[in-house]
This record gives sequence, C-alpha cells and structure tokens, in this order.
Amino acid sequence: MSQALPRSYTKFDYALRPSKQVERKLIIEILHTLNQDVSELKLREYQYVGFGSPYYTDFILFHKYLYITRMVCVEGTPIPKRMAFNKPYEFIKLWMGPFSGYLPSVDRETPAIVWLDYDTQLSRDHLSDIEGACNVLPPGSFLFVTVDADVRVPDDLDVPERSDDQKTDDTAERYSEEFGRYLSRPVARRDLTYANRPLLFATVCAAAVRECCQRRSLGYQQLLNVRYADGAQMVSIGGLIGTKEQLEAARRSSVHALHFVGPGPTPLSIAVPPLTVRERLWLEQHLEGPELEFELDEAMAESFRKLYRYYPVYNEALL
Amino acid sequence: MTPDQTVLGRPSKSFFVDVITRDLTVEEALCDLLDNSLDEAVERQRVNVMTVLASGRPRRFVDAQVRVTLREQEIRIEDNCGGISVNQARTSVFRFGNPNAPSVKGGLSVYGIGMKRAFFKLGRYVVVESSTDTEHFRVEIDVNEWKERGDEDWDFAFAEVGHHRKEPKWKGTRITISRLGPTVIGRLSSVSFVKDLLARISSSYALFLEAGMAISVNDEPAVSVLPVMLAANEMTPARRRFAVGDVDVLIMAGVSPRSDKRRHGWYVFCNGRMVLDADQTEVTGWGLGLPKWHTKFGHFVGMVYFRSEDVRNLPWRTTKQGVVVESHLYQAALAEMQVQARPVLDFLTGLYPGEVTEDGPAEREVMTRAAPVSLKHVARRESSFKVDLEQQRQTALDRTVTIQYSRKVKDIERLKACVPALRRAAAKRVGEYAFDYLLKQECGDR
Repeated sequence: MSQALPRSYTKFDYALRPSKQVERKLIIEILHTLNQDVSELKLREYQYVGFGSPYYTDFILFHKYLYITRMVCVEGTPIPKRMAFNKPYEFIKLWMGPFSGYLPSVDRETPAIVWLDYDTQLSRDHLSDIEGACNVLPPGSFLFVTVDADVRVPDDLDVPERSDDQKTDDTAERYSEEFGRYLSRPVARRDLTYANRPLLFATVCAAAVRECCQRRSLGYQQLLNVRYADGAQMVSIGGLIGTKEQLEAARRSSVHALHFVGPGPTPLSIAVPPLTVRERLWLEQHLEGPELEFELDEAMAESFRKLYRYYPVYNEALL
Repeated sequence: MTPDQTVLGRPSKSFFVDVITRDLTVEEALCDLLDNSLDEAVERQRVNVMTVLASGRPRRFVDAQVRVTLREQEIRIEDNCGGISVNQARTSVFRFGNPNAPSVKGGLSVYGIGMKRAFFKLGRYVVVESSTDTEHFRVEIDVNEWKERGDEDWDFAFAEVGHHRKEPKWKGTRITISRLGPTVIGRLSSVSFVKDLLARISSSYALFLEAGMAISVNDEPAVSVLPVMLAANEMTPARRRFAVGDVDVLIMAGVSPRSDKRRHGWYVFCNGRMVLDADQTEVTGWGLGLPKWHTKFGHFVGMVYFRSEDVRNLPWRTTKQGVVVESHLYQAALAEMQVQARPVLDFLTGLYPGEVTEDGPAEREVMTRAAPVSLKHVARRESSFKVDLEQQRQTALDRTVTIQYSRKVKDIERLKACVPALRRAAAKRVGEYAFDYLLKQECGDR
C-alpha cells in the first residue's frame, strides 16, 4: 500500500514544521504566478487531489489562496471518522484507501493539481502512482511528488544478519531493479548518501513523469525541485503536464523569475532554521547580510534571507 | 549507348510462398481462413460482436456456421456465410496486399495477405468455390505451376464462373487444400491437434460463438471460453469505455474465482477476434507500468476490446497474434489498463500477507463470498475496481483465535498454588488467566 504507517502527523502537528510550510507556500506562489500570467490556466476551476491528513493544511491553503473548491482528500489510514470530523470545508470529498484505488475514477476532464505528499521513501508503488497520474491527468494539470529521502534501508532489507555496508549494497541493488529503467546507470552506494539521495529520487520521479507524458504526446515542465529537513530529509519535485502551447505559455511567464523555480536535476535546499522571534526579526531587518549577532549556520541564514517571505510565524492562541 | 538504368525491385513469388509463411503456425493459418468466413458473416448480417460485452444483448448471427474438416491428405473449410461475389474475387480477394480500403466494415480482414499466406503454408493445391445469391465461381490454384510461371505473371484464373439460374441452396465459400506440406501432415496427425485447434478457436472466437456463430472441427463444435470475474456487494469489477479517434475501447478488470485454477492475465480483442490470450508479459505492461507478473496475480483477469469500422485503425499484427505495441492507440489503452489494474493487483497482494494468520485476511473472505459472473454479465456501468474490506476487517477483529502452548505440569501446579483464583482451575483456565494478566500488566486497562 502506498501510505504505510506510521504517519508522521502522529508525531507532531503537520502545520508547525517550518520548512514544510515554506514548501507549501512556494507551491502556492508558483501556481499563483502562473494563474496571473497565463490566461489559459484558470486555476480556480481546477480540482485539487492531495493527502490532507486530519490537519488538511494544504487544502486550507489551496482553497484560500487559489480559490479551488473541487477538492478530493485521499487517506490511506483507516480513520474515516476522524477525517470526516476534521474536514474544514463541506466541499472536500473524502476517499478512504490508497491513491492507486482512487486514480481509476479520477475526473479526466477537469485539469488537476495533484500532490502525492508521501512520508515514506520512494518505492515501486509510489512510481506506479506517479505513472498512473501522468497517464490520466488532462493536459494543463500539475503534479507534485514528495518523498522521504533520509538515509534508510527498506524495512524488509533491514535484517540483523547483514552489516550496514551490506544493507546499503542491498538497497542499491533493490533500487537499481525498481528504478533502473529511469536511470542511465545502476544505483551505487554514493547515490544513497544523505547528500545524494534527494538527487536520486528526484531524477527517477522526473524521468517517470517525462516518459509517461511523452507517450501521450504531452510535455512536462519542471517547476519545483527542492529538498528540506524539519526532521527527516524530504525531496519534492513537480511541474506542469501540458501541450506544447501550454508549456510555451508557462515558459514565457514570470514564474521562472522566482529564484526557487528551475529546470535543473539537482534539488535546491529550502531548509530554514527554527528561529526565536527576536532572531527572525533581526534577520528580516538585516536582509543584506551583516555579520550575525548570534550563532546560526551561515548557510541557514542565507536560506532564510531568500525565503523569509514564506517563513511561518506561530503564536499561541487561546481558542 | 546508355547502359540499362533499371535496378530490379519487383517481388518474387518464392518470397510469398516460402518466406512469409515461416512466422505462421498451422493453427494460425487455419484461423486466417476462418477469419475469411467470419468476415462474410459480419458483412451479410451486420453483427457487431462487441455488443456481447457492451450491452449483453448482441444482435445474433442467424444460421451461420463454419465447418473445418481435417483429413490425412486434405483440409477443408466450408461455410454458409453468404459467399464471395465474382467482382470481389476478380478484383481483390486473391490479390497480394489490399490496394483499397477493406470492404467489410468492422470486420477481420486487414492487410490482404492472411488467406493467401495460409494457402501457401498449408498445401500446394487449393480450390476455392463460392456461391452467393446470384452467382458462383471456382478458382483452382496449383501453387507449384503458378510459381514456375515466373515472377511476371501473378494472376489466377476462374475454372468456373457464372450466374445461378435459380436461387441456390448453398450460399457460402468452400476452400479445399491438398498436397499438404510435410510439417502440416505431421501436425495434423498428432493426436492433440484437433483438441488444440478447438481450444484455440474457443478462445479466439469466443465472442463470435457467444453471438451465435457455429464453428466445428471434424464435427466437434467449439464452445465459447470467456473468463469469469467475481462480483458481489463488496466487490465491483472495473469497467471503462472510451474512444481514441474512431476506435471504441472497452477495458474490464477484476478477479477470477478461487476455484478457477487457470492463471489469467490480459485478454485483448480486435473487432471480436482475440489477439492476446491471458498475456502476462511486458506487452500488456507487466514489469513496466505494472509489477512483474507473479503467480499471486494468477486470479487477475483483464479484458481489452478494440473496435473500429475501419480495421486498419486497430493495433493488430499481420498474424493476428499479439499487438502493435508502438501504436498510439495501444499506448493510450495501455496507460488506462495500468491505472485500472492497479487496485486489483493491490487486492490480490493483500491475499498473501507477510504473516500467516489463523483466519486468513479479509481479502480472502470477500473472495470466497463473491459470486462468479460471466464477462458478458458484468454490470454495464462505468466503475473502477472496488472492494469493501471494512466490514470483514471489523468482524475479523472481534473474532477469537485459539492460542495453544504447553508447559510442565509441575510449573502449572506451582502457579495454581500461588494464585488463589486458580486453585481449582483447569489448565485451559490457567492459560486464559495468564494471557489476561499479561495484557493488563503490559497494556493497562482499556
């Protein structure tokens, strides 16, 4: 099944992870920019399909900022009552079960924004979901995929008889077998490091999307390819699946002026540091970058300066 | 003087007689000749066999039959499907390749090669006789004589042609092939050949048989073999119908009954003719968009039906076995096949959980309770494959399981002595007490 337990929302509130929230806002910014610049893309008429979890954070954002009202929340964990209880809007439709079970009945006429926001490592099942989505979504649709890209060994390969090095080799072999057709060479140990695993997964996902689109005589324009870590390291890729004309219109739009939008294969880090209120305010006042007055990794500070507009602010509220 | 500028490119007869017959089996050659008969029936009676699946109430063939007679030295295929007109015979039926659009709409003849190739594959002397309402003809082909005539003269001649003076009793076509090739004689003499051929016909022409066409081999009738799928309140097979250009595409996917021991796969039809039989290869996406085929998927039944009035738009190969994978149409269908099949495969994977449980998973329970339904009776509404396991899972959780283990008598007696509540208890009660005690200690109160 695509969405295996344990779900990360059981550990902490989804909305409170700053990098995750930055990512959501980047996606909103990309879509919003295209919506303004490309008249053919009328996003308010789109359908949104996502994995809301009981927090529905993405659903709330996509509705409030993009005015989308046709929404389907796919939930693989058997918590139907909890999902229904927490639904923020009446118009959200719930589909209980794996995404692969929902896909055959997806509306083929309405362009979609689909976010396959997994919290597990890329697997053959995820790839099938991606391929399936690319097979049926109408041109003009957006597909985003997020997977865990931490250094891990698939559960069934994590056996005590094998040493850590052997397990890494086993993982490389498994990935070569499962993703091989989307890679130009077999997966090696160096592809599985913390630094390189996001690139591996992003490459495989992008190649799968491109191949499926090509078979339908459609194209794919990558808009997002980022990595971050609030806890586990994650990688997200996504973009527009469309006709030549749609892709050309998107290419001419100002979306490519956004610094985090790029066609490159290497995921851009959007990790932002957890900051105190004072630190955040100081950094925002000193965007040009004088010497820091407190201990903070320089790269993190730089990342914050690029992404401060998307940085979430949390305060306690008594409801 | 300028030298002769010609570079020879004309075809040779031996290419047709000896080369392109090599990729063909004897069964396939016989099916090619059957296609010819069925084509005539489709043309005369305007029957669309896709309706067997699409509406469940097809327009049926009326008194249409094809009889295949196999003897030691002779093959005969005789039908009463309406016959070939003299004009068709004169201008197209015997030509190599079809210069014009195929005449039968929604039929089976595509490339204008099948029948001639079948003749050459099977024997060296062929007699084709045909009779329509108004006219009749006979063509006799002595293949060796024709070949020796050289590569300039490709035509055949009528041995007999004319109009009926009165309404004929028989309207159909009879093909008699003799001077059979040695490999053909070998195949025909094998005990299993008739059985194999009948099995082939029963699946390849299942929809024609369902629609009332009668086909027999040595007087033994072929009986339609269509896979069955399970359907129940908790289980709905997938069904999706859509168009690609002028081609009507119907896809169904589901699960075969537990009692069905046959290992299934994808069945692909073009205008009613099966071109892939229980395919488990990359051609239908296994190991590409779908996981590699595995025995645990043996109960997966997938059905793809292509229909077009213009036979040239369908993805069939010249042998009518397999499909043209590269075709745009087939790729579009393949994408949809993968999406529809996935939930079925997820379900079948759930039948074999990693751990062995006493009562089996909910999937198995649903599968046992669902009823088999013939493909033609699968509900004719659009649906994806749906299974409701929730009820099964709930009841499964409330069910009890017996745990059995043994311990030394002296230890049990010791325990009974220490726990006042167990003093007079039987061993079974001691075990239950131990479990409840552990549950409370480790998990606390509910």
